[in-house]
Amino acid sequence: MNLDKNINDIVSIFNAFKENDDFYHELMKEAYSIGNESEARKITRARDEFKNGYKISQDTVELIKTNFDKYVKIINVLNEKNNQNKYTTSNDTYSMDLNSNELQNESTLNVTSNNTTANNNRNSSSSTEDEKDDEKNIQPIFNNSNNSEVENNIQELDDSNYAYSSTIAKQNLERKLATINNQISIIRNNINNSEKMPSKNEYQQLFQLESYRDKLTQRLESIKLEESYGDNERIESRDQKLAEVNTKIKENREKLQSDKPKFIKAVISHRLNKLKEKQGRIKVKQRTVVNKALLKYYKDSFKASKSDSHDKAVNQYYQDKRDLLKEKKESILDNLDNNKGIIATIKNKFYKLRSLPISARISYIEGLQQKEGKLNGFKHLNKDIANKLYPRVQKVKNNTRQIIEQLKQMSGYLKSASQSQQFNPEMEELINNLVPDQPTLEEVSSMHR
Amino acid sequence: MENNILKLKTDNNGEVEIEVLDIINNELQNKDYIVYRLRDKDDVLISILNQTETGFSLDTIEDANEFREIENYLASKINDNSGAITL
Repeated sequence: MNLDKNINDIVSIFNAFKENDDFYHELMKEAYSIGNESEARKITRARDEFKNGYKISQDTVELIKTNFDKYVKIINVLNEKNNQNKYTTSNDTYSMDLNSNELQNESTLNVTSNNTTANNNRNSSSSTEDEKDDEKNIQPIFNNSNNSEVENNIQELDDSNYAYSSTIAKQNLERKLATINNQISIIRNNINNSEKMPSKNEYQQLFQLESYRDKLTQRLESIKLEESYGDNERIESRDQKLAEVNTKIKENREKLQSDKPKFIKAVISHRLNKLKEKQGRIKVKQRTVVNKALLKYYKDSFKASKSDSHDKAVNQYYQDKRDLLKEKKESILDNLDNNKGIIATIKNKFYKLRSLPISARISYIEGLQQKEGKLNGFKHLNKDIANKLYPRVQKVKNNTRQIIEQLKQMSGYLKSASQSQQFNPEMEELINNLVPDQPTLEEVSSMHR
Repeated sequence: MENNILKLKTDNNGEVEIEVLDIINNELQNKDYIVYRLRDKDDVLISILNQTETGFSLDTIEDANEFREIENYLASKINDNSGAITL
């Protein structure tokens, strides 16, 4: 097998397929999350080949070739995870991942995508059928409703939004972790021991449970860390504060339920009417799916906005936009004024330079060199203006450097010329061309348009 | 939400009805996004909303970072309203 890659990386990928179950689970989760069952099959086959010492198939070679860099990255991440702090309960070990996604309260923020490619060439028998097909194409792979059991478990366990005293919280977390770990072990064992290819349902469960476990671990670690400082009084007082905060949260929640964004529906209706006037097309091969909590949020928002005055809301929305644009315009104009000043100064200096004798030019160039620091400031201006000005600034800087180089060259000539009392004609031409073309006034002003 | 239905043509001349939930404008990138769902489906979808003088179209968000940005924005919308804190 010729992969033309770093031999250490090749060996680690082979070993990962052969021995590292975590690696296999990561690949499977990823393949299923984008709905790529064919890749999942290839991954399973590759693992079987390495594990059982079968002959490596061409499909496996292609799979590794295509995903080589990604696999190396996954292996590195897994190795790093294994080297991090480990928390152990009973016989299960799991690592703490501070970057893991937190589960949302309502359900998992389970972002998935479907990259099914629509077949544009197929014959459309009827529009209804097409519509159905289109709907099929955008079915999310990890549909939350498929795993109501796991979700219920998590819902049942997730009472994280209210604070308890740290001891009770710790006990609760440890109990939950033990349960979750047990469930994870069962699913992983099922996957490992089964001769069949694991289903996407199994991976969805695993994904949800692992995310939840990471979240709980993180919480437990933070409680333990606080306890380890031995500052029980501080913890007690924090617990008390948290209890107060919880009460406030409860009050705020009730208030927010009736006070959700009031003009969402109005603004959407307003913009939607504009869209309806135009003919719309959809060309989406892959659509992005967000979670149920978001849908609930919008449903509630729409409910809340039913009694509101739409016109008033729309006016307010656009008034806010106008205010924002006005502010932006003013800041852009301020920036433009500043930039105009800088460019005019640089231009004046160049024109003055051109009319000066050589020795005076040198001291001017030194002055310009100091300006370089100031020129760099352009990069931090408004993005649009900076994009327009930066090439020009670079040109000025390059010109400056060019002049300095030429002056260095010239100093040698001047020395010898003053000794021999005659100028080299080539040198005279060089001096005449010393200052490169400068931007015209029109060019400078066009940059501000 | 029944008034927010938008009919769209697909590339193979089919027709899809979507229920528009939100239209988000990213002023920094000067881009619009449309948050929607298919009728009677519970999954919320996001696409890029391209508008011209005469028409509009929806495109897939291909860039992972771009998607993450929108996702964070939407998540913050939910969190702002739930008022939840974690221990």
